[in-house]
Amino acid sequence: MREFSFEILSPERIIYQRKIVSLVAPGVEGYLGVMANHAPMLAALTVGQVKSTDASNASSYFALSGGILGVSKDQVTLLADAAEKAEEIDVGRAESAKSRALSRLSKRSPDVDIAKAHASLMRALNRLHVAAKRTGRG
Amino acid sequence: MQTLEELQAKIDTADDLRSVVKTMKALAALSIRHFQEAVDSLRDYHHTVEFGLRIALRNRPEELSVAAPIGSKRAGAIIIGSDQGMCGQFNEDIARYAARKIGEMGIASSDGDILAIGLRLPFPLEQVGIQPGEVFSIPTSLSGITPLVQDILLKMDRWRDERGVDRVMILHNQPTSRQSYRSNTRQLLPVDADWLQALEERRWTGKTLPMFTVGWDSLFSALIRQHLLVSVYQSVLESLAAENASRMASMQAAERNIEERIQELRKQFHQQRQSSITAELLDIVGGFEALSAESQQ
Repeated sequence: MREFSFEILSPERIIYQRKIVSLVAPGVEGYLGVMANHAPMLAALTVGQVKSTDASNASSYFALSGGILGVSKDQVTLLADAAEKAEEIDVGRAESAKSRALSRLSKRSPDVDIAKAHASLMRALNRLHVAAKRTGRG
Repeated sequence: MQTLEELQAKIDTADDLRSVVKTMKALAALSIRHFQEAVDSLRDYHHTVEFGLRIALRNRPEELSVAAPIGSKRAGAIIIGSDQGMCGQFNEDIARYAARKIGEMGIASSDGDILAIGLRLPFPLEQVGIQPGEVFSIPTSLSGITPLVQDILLKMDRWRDERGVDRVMILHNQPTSRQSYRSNTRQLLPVDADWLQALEERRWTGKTLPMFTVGWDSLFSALIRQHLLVSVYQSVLESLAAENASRMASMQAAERNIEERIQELRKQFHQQRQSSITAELLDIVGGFEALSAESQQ
């Protein structure tokens, strides 16, 4: 299969840069796939899992917390609010974040920022889901 | 008068303090470099966001116009300070600047539309009559900035949805050199209409205009969100770089004072030592003369 360049940029650094053959990303209206020679495209992304596969059929997984995907001729750029490779996710921290968010949501007190707690919970669940991919559990 | 041992102990303490100050200076210099490098790398990110906005604006529904909003209802302010000490007048400077700007923007200084970033900022703000509605902590490393920025964007969403805040400014210090900074305001909302107009009018060089898979509204919202993310991120980075510039200046002044103190203590030590040697010599000479007089008798 034909390869194309793929990079994930976060505001502070280039997270990932490689030649790949296919990409699956979480669009706001559902997951979308990209292969070489895809028509130029722009898509808004949401919290979810990004899967990139290289020519040797090896896949890399990333936990994404939203962003923009830009596809131009043989170049795909993903602007990520935050993205973590499955192997780099700190499961303990993600579990703690999940517990904290659940505890805040269960309080239902006027002091609790529900939107913030819900967003934290979604991010933590996504990170745990993607982290499971590195151990073959997901 | 202090003994030689007491003076030596003071010199040792001042030497230790000088080592601590030198280490802090080195750390501040390193942090400034990291934060400024991150500011540079943000440009690539923002360039891609601009690219996306150009595509979206060229496909803009005809009934929508890129015009400045009329009669904004309510304004909010985000003020960035510091969580840590030893950075001179950093928090006080931004608090004084905020007091002036908030007055100009017509924000009531105690109605909750003010968010303070930095745990040491509320006190200087209260001193100038500003009561922040909420206080967030500021990270000290790059990895902690994204979660803070996401929380700030959520806060802005809530302001808009629950309080009708449609004009938001971010006030922060930004470095002007390795040891100085100035206070600055960046407008977050409404997004600059002139800038959007200029992006729309920029000539397209590619053969085909990219398509988009989602509705125009969703795409445009996502791009504006990215633009806001970059703007807030840049403000936080600049503030952190300015904080370390201020710390560098403070440490430079502290190092100079410690040097002067050590010199003064050493002078006192040498004088004291000379006096004690002279006294001992006089004792020896006096004793020798007394013994000589006894033996002559």
